[in-house]
Amino acid sequence: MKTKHWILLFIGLVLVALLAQLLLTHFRSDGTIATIYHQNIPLKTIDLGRVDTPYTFTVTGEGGAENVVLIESGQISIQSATCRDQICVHQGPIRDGTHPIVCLPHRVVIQIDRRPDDAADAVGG
Amino acid sequence: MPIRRLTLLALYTTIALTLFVAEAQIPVPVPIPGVKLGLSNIVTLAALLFLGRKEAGLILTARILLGALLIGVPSMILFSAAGGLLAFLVMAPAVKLLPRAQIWVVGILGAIAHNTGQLLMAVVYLRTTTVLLFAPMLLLSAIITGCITGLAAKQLLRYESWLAR
Repeated sequence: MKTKHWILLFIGLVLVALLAQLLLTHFRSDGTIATIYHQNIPLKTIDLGRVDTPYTFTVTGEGGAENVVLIESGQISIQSATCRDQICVHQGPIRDGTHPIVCLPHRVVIQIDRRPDDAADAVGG
Repeated sequence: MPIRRLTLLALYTTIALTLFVAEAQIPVPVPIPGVKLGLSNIVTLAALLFLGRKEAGLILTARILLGALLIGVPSMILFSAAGGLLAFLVMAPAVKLLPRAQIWVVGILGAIAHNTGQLLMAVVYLRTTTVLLFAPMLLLSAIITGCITGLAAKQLLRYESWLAR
C-alpha cells in the first residue's frame, strides 16, 4: 500500500473512533442508577438522583486493597484508592453511562445504567 | 551465543526497561485505563528491524517480566503480556511486509494490537464487557501514540550500523 493509502486508512479509523464515541455519548447519557462491582459481584446499587447528602462507601479487597467511593447527588467517583496507578481516582466523577470507572488492580468497576435491571443485563458474561 | 549478540540483547532490554519504568512515572493526562505512550514499543520495533524476530521476542519477554518486577504491580503483567504478545504477532510480519519508510505504519498497527490485547484481558480479568466502552478512545489513542513511537523508530534507521547485528 502506498503511504497515502495508509494515511487515509488511519484518518478513517480516527473518524470511526470519534463517531463511536459520539454515539456512546448520545445513547448512554441518561441513567442515574450506579452499581459498584467488586470482582464482578454487585456490592451496592444507588440511585444517584435520590442522594441528598454525600457519603462514602469503602470497597475492601484482599491484602488491604481499598477504594473509597464518594457518592453525591447525580455523580459518583472514587475518592481514594490504595493502588499504585490511581487511574480510577484521576478519572474523577462520572454522571452517566458513557464510561465506567475502572480500578484494574483491585477489580472494582462502577457503572451507571438507566434501571437496575439494565445493570444486571450488562454484566452477564 | 556470540558476545556481540548477547551485548546487543542486553542493551536493547536495558533501554526498553528504562523507557518502560520512566514512562510509568509520568502521569497520563487522560484518565482512561490502558492509555499510555508505549515508549518501550520503539525498542521492540527497532529489534524487529535490526536484530530479527527471535531476538525481538526475547527482548520483549525480558522487558515484560522485569518491568512487572520493577514496577511491582503483580496483576499488571497480565495486561502487558496480553498487549505485548498481540502487538508482537502483528508487528513481526508487518515489519517484513512493509517498506522501511513506512515503519510508522507498523508502530500504529502494533499500538492498536497492544490496546486490543489489553482490553480483551480486561474483559477476562474483570469478567465484564462494560470495559469495551473504552474501545473507541483506546483506538484513538493507539493511532496517535503508535504514530509517535513509529516515527521515533524511523529516526533510528540512521543509526542502523550501531544497532544492527
